[in-house]
Amino acid sequence: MLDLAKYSSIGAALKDALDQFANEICLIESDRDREKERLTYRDFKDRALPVASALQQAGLGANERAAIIMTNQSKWLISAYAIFFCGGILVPLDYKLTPDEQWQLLTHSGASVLITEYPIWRQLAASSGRATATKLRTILATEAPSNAELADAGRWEDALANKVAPTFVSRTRQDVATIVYSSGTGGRPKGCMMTHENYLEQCVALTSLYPFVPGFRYLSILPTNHAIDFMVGFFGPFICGATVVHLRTLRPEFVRDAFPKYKITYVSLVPLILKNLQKGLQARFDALPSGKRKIFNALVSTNRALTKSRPRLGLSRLLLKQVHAGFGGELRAIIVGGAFTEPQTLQFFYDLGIPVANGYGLTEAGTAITVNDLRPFRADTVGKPLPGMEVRVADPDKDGDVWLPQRAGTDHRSDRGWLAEDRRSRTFRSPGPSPTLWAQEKYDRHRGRQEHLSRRYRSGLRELAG
Amino acid sequence: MRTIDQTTQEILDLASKHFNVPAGTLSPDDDFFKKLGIDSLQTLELLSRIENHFNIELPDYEVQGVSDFRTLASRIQSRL
Repeated sequence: MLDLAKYSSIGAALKDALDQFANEICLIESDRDREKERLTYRDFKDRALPVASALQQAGLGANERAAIIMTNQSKWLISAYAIFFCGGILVPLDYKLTPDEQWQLLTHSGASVLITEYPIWRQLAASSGRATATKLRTILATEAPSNAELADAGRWEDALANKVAPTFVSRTRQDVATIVYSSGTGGRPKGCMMTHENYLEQCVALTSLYPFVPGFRYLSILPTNHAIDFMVGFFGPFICGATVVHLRTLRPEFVRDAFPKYKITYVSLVPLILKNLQKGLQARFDALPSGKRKIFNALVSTNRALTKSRPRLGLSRLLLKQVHAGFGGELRAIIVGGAFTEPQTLQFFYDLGIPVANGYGLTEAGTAITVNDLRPFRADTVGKPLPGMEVRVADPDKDGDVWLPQRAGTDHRSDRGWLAEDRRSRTFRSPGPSPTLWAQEKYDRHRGRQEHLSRRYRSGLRELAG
Repeated sequence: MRTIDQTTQEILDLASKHFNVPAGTLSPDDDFFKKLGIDSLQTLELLSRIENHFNIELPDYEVQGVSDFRTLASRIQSRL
């Protein structure tokens, strides 16, 4: 893993990673049972630099905003690196939004560049929202058929022929790296301006608990515009020389097959998919003949007893060989986030020897605030604050608000955090001499905002509610 | 070659069979999420059934944002 303390930006760290791990596999892209791409870090660099060059020639420079709307695939990451290389601010947008919603965010973000897939561009181009994005001047569409009508977009693949070497543009830790739209539990999406430091520090904290090394493979299922996948499905594995596996379809049968096929090490899921996985496994266990069922239950009980204090992957894989073989035999943890996960589901997987890294966080606070470190495993907790993370409780002796550091806006001089008119609604200064901005996790219920209260227990644990 | 009406009807039949809904209770303009009470994962399962039935591949992006049987049928018809 690179020593991120030495780097001032995502782009600088990735630039070195591409050289340091040049011969390692960084990306595998599969469409159903067909493998479409297998890129080394050197291949990745060879594709990204011409794209960066094309973006620079189109005028993308420091602090210019460039949006990506794509499903999970290699070109998403290649384009993102090209944007960082140019010193640009990445605006990752959700491909599942409607074209009108995407235009609203493109307009709101002030993006001058859009990189998207042809099927998405086809719908965007037909939407009346196009007229509102007046700052947008460069559009690149990937995978367009040769006879496709591209309107005012260019072909992403044409950029690969660019022979002019791009110039790397340095950024500082305090510069904005991304604008990530987050609506929390509802309401209008707000643009969170995340600095390079947010990502560099968060990456150090997360990889200290869930490390990547060359040869580890992360299955990227959550959309990469999502804060979790951006971190553990792009930046984290890349600065460690690990591999990211993309699937072009999320049909359950192909996701299932990907685990043994690619010997997946980590995967991130939302609770809905984790629950679905649990249901499928439970149905298979229930279908076992009585004798086998008894043996299986005994093995699960043994595993539970032997992993009480900490996960013991080798032992669990030995005891529950067939279960682990179904996941490829090398799965180290499932990362879950984005919503509440039932303790019963977490316990189910832990008893099988498959730890689930359950966490709590907010996009605007730097993705993950707390993560269960599994030492020991508890199904009813989102864990302790990550190294370097601060959590304040308004009144520690009572039930009260949880205050989280608003990592998106630690630069108090500019008072930034949320983009444009989003800024005023959800930030305030903490009392005392520290000028740090804090995101208050107790919002006005009547305005439809999030409300994260906490209840204190005698055990010292604190329950998040709301 | 199937007509769009035939394709639509076959999709309705597949959906009612897969989700155990009485035949004839589904109509082309129904929102299948609401009518069948299914989530996005279950929709992907239905799409796999539909692909096998029509012997086609329907990329995920083609059904992005689609929520009614009629539109789904038109996307499939274009690939037959």
